[in-house]
Amino acid sequence: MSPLLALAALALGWLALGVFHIKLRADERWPAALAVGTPLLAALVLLLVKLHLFRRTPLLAATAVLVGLALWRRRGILLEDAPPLPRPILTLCAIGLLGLSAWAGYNAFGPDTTPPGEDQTFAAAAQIFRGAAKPHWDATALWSAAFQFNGHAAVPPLHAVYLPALALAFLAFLRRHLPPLAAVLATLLLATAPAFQLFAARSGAQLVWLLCLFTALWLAHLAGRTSQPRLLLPVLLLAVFAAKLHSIGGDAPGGYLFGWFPWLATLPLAALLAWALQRQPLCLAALAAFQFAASLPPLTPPPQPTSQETARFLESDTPAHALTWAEHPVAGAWTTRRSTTDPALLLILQSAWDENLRPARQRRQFVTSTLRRTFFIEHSGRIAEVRFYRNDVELPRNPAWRVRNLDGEAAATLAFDNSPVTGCHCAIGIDFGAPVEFDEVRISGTEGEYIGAPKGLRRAATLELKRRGITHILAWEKGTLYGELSRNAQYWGLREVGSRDAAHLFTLD
Amino acid sequence: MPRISLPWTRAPWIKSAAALLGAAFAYYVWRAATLSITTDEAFTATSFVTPPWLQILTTYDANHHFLHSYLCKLVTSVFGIAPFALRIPALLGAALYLWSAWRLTRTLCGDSPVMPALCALLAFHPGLVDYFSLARGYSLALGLLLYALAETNEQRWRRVSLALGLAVAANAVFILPAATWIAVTLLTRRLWNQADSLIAPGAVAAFILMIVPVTHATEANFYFGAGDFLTSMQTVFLYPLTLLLVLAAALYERGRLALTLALTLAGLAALHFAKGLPWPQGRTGVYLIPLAILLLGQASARWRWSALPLAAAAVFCLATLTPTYTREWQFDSNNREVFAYLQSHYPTTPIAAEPPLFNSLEYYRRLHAVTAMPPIVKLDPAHPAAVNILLAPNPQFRELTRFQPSGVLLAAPAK
Repeated sequence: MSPLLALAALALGWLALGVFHIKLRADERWPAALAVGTPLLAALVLLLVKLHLFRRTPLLAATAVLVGLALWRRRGILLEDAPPLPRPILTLCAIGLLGLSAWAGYNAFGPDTTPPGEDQTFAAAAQIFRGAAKPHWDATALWSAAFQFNGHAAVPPLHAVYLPALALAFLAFLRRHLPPLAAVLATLLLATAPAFQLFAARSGAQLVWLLCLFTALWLAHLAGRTSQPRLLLPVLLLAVFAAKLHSIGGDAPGGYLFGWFPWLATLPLAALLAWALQRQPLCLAALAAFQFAASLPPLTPPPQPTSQETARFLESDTPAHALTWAEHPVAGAWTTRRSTTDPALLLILQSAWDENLRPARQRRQFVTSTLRRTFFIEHSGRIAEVRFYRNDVELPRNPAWRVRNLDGEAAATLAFDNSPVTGCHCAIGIDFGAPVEFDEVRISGTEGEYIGAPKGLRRAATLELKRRGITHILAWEKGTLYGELSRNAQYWGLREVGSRDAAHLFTLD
Repeated sequence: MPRISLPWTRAPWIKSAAALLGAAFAYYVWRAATLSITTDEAFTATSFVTPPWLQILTTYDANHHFLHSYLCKLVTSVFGIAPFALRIPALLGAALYLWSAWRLTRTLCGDSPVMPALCALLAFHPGLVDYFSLARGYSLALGLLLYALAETNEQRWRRVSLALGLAVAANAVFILPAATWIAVTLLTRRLWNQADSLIAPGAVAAFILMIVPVTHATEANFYFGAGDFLTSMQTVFLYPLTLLLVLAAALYERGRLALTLALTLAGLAALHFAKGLPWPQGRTGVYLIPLAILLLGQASARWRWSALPLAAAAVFCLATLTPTYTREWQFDSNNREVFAYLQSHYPTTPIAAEPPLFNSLEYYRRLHAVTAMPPIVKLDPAHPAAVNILLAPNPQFRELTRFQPSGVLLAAPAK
């Protein structure tokens, strides 16, 4: 049922383009309407939430009304004359795109394959559906609306709809520039791209973003080409919505043809290939067929269903307010519990016991005792703490001091927070705000003379995590942490509260 | 090159060249049917023909000549894994090579005595002749390369491109001559508006046939070759005089063939110095030979008495033929007899063979499905088997019997 939402988006887009008396070719209307309707549908969802009508029945009713209105105003979008696709090419296009869409749909109706760590939109939509969060004007609004139909399983089929939509938008763009057969074959080349096939079966928002971005560029191009400045209104809408979606990330194999490039390059590369091979349709057809065949098993293993076991484990073994630091990402859509894999926290934990990261050394830098307003510390290993001395007496730190990371990782202020487990791999610039006098700088970290690690580092790391809101740690038996955490749990101030398969859950005392 | 409009059936030299090439093909077929399997063929059969398709597609080795392996897989699935069946794709390549050689020389020389002399050189050059009867990708690639050259004269650019792409897929070392021939054709004929026809079909065909196994390649796979240029050229052309003649012909002719050869050598040098790839050695530079012969033919076609030295060279090539063994794998020439002997005299005895002989003998054991005989393993001198097959006499072993012309001997441990 969730693909009905795409129908609502299509109807909304159709009405919007009609309102502005946009003139398009017959085959350009459908993908343009779906793309323009997508941000409008997200806005409609926000409105329904505001009106406390965010349920399945009002959504269906709104869809029915919008489809009815669009049918009534079906001639709203003005038609530009264009030669239709020759019948054999149209048949090829229809069979190819329908087949690929059916394949993408078949995969989308299967088990969830969204990799944990790339499921932020899906997880956020799940939270919205549960009432634990409010939707924003982005893909979370769309996906949370999909949740109303059949929970988690409803999201990938809605996302899969955007694959043929993207292909049709691409086809519409190419038809203005290339011979019909080359345009259709290039479209099949795009639709068979393994990255897009994979995304279509997942609950990310990559295809929505790409459709909005591409349609914005395509319509902007059309606005100039057909002298329709009105088209810039939907372009603006799509551009803003695409900007809201830009951080969707996602990783997918590009296959043998586009594998050397990031997945985002697939679209321009397909267009480039189509242009270069426009007189060689057999080559385009062979590439598309090869690409599709090579993306299937056994040459390419099928995507693995997302493991929900760890998510269920967190759901059953942690309290509602828990925030777990996990060594590997957890499928966020399948649990109400929050988790993070922030690598900065792993560094804090490692600096408490890893010989290469423990602040067991100190560099003493003697300087001429004069008044200085600024001072620079070179990048050398991990710097845990920096202290200034005059006549062996430490200068008290002052809130007026301004500390900058000049080169390297992490915030330089972590070297001035009195915590030995935090620090930075960086060169530091300090502006004291006023002239100060000191004759020695002591830099504790991983470089310099060995002085031994401060006592209670493990406990300090746990406290630092606690200070950052972490309540639990989830470590895997084959990971780097589990051995240490289980062996020295009492020194860390941790208690193992459960395990499932190879994952062990520790609570911070 | 001018096109000849004379009907070939009324041209005696063209007819004699056709007869000569027909005889050459019969010779290749006879050798394919009678030669013992060679080490490299056995390795190809066991590693890239008999395994399942998925393994063939996802394995890379310099021995894996993709298009040839795929064709062998298809042919052997119908006719079985016998040596002759394994060599059918190579024979098809040889037929294409001979037909293309006939077309090229006919265009180049017309009905003159130079044509049969050139055909004989192309068919029986000692650096080429063995590969037309062996189950390796060289024959197919050579056939496709010459076909592309012949089609260039007809200006059928898609066919040229496809043939060159398939040649590269049949043997990856042909990528340099294929690329340079396309570049030279584009440049010298100013075919900018035909660039897609000349590049795309071949590039797409080669890509589709090669990309899956090539993604499994590592730098360690590119091991075969010569350390320096002169050794390389000597292993390719066999006689230093040939190299001088080719150089003289190139300077005299200064046409597309000369440019192709020069750019190919420049490409080899660039790959050697930039990427550290070895220079071609023997068979990995096999494409240089027909290009050089055609260049010699083209240069000498302007000289009245050129047929005489070319015919003399052809006679020399014919005189140096070794019908019962191959130059590079002479040690493999008795493999069939060795295995038959082992089967009759040592049917259940553990047998070890010196590398690389064990590949070929194990191939025969599998071919004849001799389950009673234990697998023939690589000889470990510290732990010899009851019967050992050696390439040369060894004081640690007592000779039992010897085979000629390979010189392979069966031996038992001395103590």
